Amino acid sequence: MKYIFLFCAFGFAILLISFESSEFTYPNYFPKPVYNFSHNPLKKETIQLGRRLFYDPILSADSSISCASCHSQYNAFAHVDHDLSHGIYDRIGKRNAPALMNLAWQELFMWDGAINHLDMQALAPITHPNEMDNSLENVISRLRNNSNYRHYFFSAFNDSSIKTEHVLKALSQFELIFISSNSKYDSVKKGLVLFTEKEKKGYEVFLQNCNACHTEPLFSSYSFSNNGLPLDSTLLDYGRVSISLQSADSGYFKIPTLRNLRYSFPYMHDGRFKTLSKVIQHYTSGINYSLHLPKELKKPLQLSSEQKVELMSFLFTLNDSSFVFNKQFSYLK
Amino acid sequence: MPCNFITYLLPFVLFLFYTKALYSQAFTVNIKPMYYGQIIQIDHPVIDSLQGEQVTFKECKFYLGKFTLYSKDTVLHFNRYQLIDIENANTTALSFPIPSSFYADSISFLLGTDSVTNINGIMDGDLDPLNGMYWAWNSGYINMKIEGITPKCPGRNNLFQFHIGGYQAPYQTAQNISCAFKRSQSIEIQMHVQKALEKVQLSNEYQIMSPGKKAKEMSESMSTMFTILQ
Repeated sequence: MKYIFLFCAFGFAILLISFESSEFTYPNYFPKPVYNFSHNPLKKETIQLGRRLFYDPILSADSSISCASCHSQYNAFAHVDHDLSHGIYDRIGKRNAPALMNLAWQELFMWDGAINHLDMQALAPITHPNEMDNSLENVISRLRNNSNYRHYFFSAFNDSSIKTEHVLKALSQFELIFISSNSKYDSVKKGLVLFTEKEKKGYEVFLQNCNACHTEPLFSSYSFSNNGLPLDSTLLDYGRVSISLQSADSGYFKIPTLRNLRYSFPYMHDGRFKTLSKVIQHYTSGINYSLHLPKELKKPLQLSSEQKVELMSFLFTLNDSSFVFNKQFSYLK
Repeated sequence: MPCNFITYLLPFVLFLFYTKALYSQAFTVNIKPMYYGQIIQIDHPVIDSLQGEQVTFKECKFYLGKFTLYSKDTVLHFNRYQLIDIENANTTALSFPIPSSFYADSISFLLGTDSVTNINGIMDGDLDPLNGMYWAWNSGYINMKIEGITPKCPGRNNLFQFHIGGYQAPYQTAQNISCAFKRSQSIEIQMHVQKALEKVQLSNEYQIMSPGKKAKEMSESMSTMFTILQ
């Protein structure tokens, strides 16, 4: 009898532990997240509140667009089919909205790293004239005047006063659970399936030529680099240098992940390439040689047409359909 | 038993009263922004006594934080930030709990916010971005904000705007300030705002609103604004 009791207690404890971490699980070959969860411990109600806010156009000046307008789940939370993303009143910005995933492993946000913490990120699109064109004051007062939100905030934070801190932390919590770790690559890592011969060769090509910047298993080092794109004279976007004010950062942009490329086209900070083969072509024959090019790109990539096909088939193994169709991330009805 | 209870509890209660009494005093600091000896009030013109120009301040807000009070043998740290807005008298009178026997003879504090505060994520109270002292487009606090109008300023509506911030090397703008004074439990800190503007010519430099070299230089000028009046 005593043993049965102990067994039950043990089982219950295991259940509790797995429930506790069920919102945020990641494979053991991922590094440790950099987000400080002790400042913002995940809670089911807070994640749901973040989810409501993410999909609610209440955040934009004329209540026309939400975060999801430029970050749609079916596109791995990128803005499909637009080179430059557009926000409120059809105003066009100067960059391509990045895909959102595995954000807990990233320290700096935006293509130029202008935002230094996930919690602060939402302030930028909310207030940017080409995005939501709103003010923080207006967002807070609208939410405070909404009795449903007062209720949701109370369930999330035991406080219905609706403070900036809580709005931003709730948005962070929802975005933190955007974990993509169920691609074929992940299944291979977990020992569940094997790569095909072609994918395996493509993996070799990847490791030799791409992994220095698009480092596995997140497929980005999340640092900044210049990948030799010729400057678009209509945008004159020099990237990171405008934030760091260090001339060595001229033409540097945040290295994007290679996960979910199938869903997140077009590619590059200004969305200039619609297809992956255009991207590979850039690295083999399109690099603009400048002072600021990193050593990895000083010599053009030399890939046979066979290797290009192999590399593409490996890159396809990084697509994670369970991520783009995960019901936990979708619009809350 | 009740007797025992009291015997044990009484020293504890007395101790509580004692510690409360220990910190019952407050060290008070009054911040007074001045312009060439005249007290600055928002929307009330003051005169630049060197050139006779009239200046009307429209906004004057800044962070002070990490206060430390020194006496001969004691050092008291207060690890908080206070947003001073001269339009709001509640924010210009600061009070720090001290033991009754404590008399400070110097004070040090940070003008602005340190780098840890700038990268720590969202905070509440005086550090809430709702206070209008945070850059959404380039994460970081605006450490000091001075805006006003003066006829010689060629900006729109003669407006000058200095939003000074930046925490990354080499353009950090938070400044360590320290001032010595005669032993006291109360001081007035005068901030001579003309010192901040002395090095820029408002006729050609009238807006700084991003981190960088100019912001750093102005923050260095601002570090010379403070004097103590007793």
